Amino acid sequence: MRADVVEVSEFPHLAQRYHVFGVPKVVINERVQFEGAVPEKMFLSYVLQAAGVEES
Amino acid sequence: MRLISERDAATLRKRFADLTGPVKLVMFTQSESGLSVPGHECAYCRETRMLVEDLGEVSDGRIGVEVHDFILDREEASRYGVERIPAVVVLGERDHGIRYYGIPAGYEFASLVEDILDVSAQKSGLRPETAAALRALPRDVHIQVFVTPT
Repeated sequence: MRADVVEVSEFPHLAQRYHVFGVPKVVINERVQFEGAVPEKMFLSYVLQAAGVEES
Repeated sequence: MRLISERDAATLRKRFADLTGPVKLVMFTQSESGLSVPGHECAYCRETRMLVEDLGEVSDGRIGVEVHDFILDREEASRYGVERIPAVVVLGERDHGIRYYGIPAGYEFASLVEDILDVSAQKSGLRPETAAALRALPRDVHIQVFVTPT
């Protein structure tokens, strides 16, 4: 597993590519995305969706 | 010259005094001579390098620091999957996949400090159920968290 923290104002092309309008914005495997802080259980659920383990 | 304040340095010294396990920051920057490759200007490379070196200093070397030139050390960069700068790789006994792109300032500085402590202690802070589910993942996962300076 890789986890990147990206300071988006230094990489505007990434803000564009991933449609970052609010922060924190999380993108997992280019498949699942959400904005804002979420509880651990919900974060895990997003990770499992991105990995194809859970249905979205 | 130091980037972090005396007050922060004193707090960090205390927190890093208990570091036992290995932890190393591998930073990728580029020539800071003022010359830069067009399209590869790096606004916060210098500050990020200073921040990383400050962490090495206030930890009395418990936090290892390695600085590479992104353009000249292509091999190192690709070994860590680093494609943009400034980049900071947080390494423990092994590579846990943690990367910071852009200057880790403000709230991200606090996150980086927590990561350093966790990686050194080999603790994730996750609930056991979460950790078990992650270990069972059938494929690789890439999480990107986009933030802005706060």
